[in-house]
Amino acid sequence: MTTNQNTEKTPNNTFDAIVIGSGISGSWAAKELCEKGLKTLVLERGRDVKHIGDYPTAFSNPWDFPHRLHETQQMRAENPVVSRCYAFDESTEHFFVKDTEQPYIQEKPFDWIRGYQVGGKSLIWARQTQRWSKYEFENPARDKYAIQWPIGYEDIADWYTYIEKFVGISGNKDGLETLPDGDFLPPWEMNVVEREIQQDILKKYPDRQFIIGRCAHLTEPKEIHKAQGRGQCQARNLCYRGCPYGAYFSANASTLPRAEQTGNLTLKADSVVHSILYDDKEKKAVGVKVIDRLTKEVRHYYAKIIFVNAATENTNLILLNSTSKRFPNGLGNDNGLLGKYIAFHNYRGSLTATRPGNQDSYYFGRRPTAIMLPNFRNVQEQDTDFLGGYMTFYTATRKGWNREVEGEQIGAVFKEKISQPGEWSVYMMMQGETIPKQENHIRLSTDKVDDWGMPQLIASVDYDENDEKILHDFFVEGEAMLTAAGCENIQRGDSRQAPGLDIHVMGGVRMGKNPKTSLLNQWNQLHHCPNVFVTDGACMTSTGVQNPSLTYMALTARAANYAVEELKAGRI
Amino acid sequence: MKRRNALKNITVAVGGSLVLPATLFSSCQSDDYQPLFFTKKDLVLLNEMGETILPETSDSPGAKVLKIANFMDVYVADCYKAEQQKIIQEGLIKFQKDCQEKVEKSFLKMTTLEKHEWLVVLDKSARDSETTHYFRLLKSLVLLSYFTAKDGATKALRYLPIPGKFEGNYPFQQGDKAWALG
Repeated sequence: MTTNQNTEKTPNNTFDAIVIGSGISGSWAAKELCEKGLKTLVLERGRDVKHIGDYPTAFSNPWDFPHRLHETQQMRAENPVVSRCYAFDESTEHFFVKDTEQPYIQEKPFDWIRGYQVGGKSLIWARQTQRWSKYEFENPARDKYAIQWPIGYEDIADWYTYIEKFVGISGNKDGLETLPDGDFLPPWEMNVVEREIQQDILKKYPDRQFIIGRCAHLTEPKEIHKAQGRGQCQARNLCYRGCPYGAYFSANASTLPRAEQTGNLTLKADSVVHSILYDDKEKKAVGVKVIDRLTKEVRHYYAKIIFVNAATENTNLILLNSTSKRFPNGLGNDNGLLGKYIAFHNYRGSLTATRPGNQDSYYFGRRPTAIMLPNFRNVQEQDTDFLGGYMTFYTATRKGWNREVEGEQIGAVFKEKISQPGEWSVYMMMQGETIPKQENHIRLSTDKVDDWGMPQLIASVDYDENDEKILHDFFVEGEAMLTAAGCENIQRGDSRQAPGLDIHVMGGVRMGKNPKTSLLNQWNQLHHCPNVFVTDGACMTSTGVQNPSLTYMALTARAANYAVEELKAGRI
Repeated sequence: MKRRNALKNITVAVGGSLVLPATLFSSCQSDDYQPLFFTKKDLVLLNEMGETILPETSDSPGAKVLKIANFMDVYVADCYKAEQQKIIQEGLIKFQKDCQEKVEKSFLKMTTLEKHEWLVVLDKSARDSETTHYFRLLKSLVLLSYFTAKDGATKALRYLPIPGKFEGNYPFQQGDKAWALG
């Protein structure tokens, strides 16, 4: 062992900043810190993935895959958890962590979906990017289901703009208070039936304006995107394989190359962060302990500031595992709340329907977004019997060959009929807020470790009565809206999916004004260890109803710029 | 089974990626395809059944020339649950028995018209059946294997790997084919 060489502070292992994680939020921290001149080390526990070169399936046809993208029994048996993820199949499985790779303990059913590689889950995210409104920041405390956010919409609005410009967000300026407009590239179109449904619903419910989805796709790349080497979205909708056009935002296509260009980035893959090193004398974090994924060798790296962006569950795990004399229960965890108040998004409900007519209309290409309705529940005041709200999404498409048809069932006439598109079908789904509760938590196993000697994660997260009420409300309101829009054969579906499968797990290291009830301040600094910043989903005080990544990016850029100022002023 | 292990080894050799050399798949399309679940005789029968369900028409090939039975075999072997495999296995035996009893000849010896009429009858009883009828499974396998095959997707449907844009109001005339990718 060469422990001393690997763990003693030397110029080679010392940086201005360390970022743990290279995904959506970590890569943004890296870009901001590097651009501001900080020598920055990014640690990624998974393998390296190079933009384009490591997207082996990007141009494959369905028939190129042994099972033409269908799940095998072996896949399901070996990976009961990750195979439930909608984006996991033969074309994408190399971007997901297999169930056996890193065991964890489900005290209650919990599907932990992970993407361990450079770029993290930014390669396989769903790319929907709505701003939070003031209601998501204010209503949780107003209705007493979460502590008060230490920031409001006005604190983050300019950072949203900053992110949107660089990432490239397509969207329409809809002027809705519940889903603020951003700096948009041209919007995607609704198809004819989606437009009719939108208009029908608006006639009956004037306060429910469905809009075209907002997503991180370059519908018309600007100079700022071309300079990143990124091009126009080709409407292929094969995004989860990695985009060879760089048309959707990923760390690999966008923020990491930008950070690298500065000359200030050092990126180390295969580096599993064990813990953050706290120095009792200096009274601050001084570095991190890393275990090499392949050799299991231990190394230390040192820096003045540390950003933790390992994705919610692992960020909690690392902080809980960062114990010292000063912090025996985990870094910054004086109040014992680290790992608690975990919340997520409730995706259980969906509705399917058919809509007669429009047989002379079709669409061209595959649009990477849906039609969205901002939350309309408990917005101005608490006006239902549940807390929080939900967003609603729908799409309308014509049925394909895999449908029931009338008439001939065998032979040429049948073949001809199912080769043509069928009637219009509508799919509607919810994205519900869940309430952050102390009993929903993540903690460390005291006796089980993984292959790297890290304590295993115990997940203890569940739905409650409020989630059932939101699900019910979605069913009732969704059915009413689809009925108003002339839909038929409306069917409810409850996936009963476990928490975690939403991949929107948030909290555990929440932001707040009061160090007694929160871990992070308004700048995402640990109250009790201010040179450590947490800006991934773990920092979230409540979940909102929007897809969260845009907010993680904005919080990250904001915190990184603050960190640089504080560092230069000598305050951290 | 051997073939599957071979596939696995090759995937490992190319670094865990699941893109396999095209040459590997050409073997699936040729007559020396080694079935995983069915017998070689079954494959001949399944291709004939496929052709009856989805025959060659003026603008697209039939199921037989696409050798759809080969992918049906892979799918049943790897993706089906044991109880579905059992229904298929027993169903094929019953099918051949019923051909002799009801049409008085083997399926392969029937005329095109006889094959068609017999499968129409069988399809009706499968649709009326309250339990999972083997022919319901076979027919859905035929459709899956045909429409996801290269020639099925590109000739019987419109396959557009790189649309380049999205249009929400694209004209459609009766007879136009559906997009192969949803």
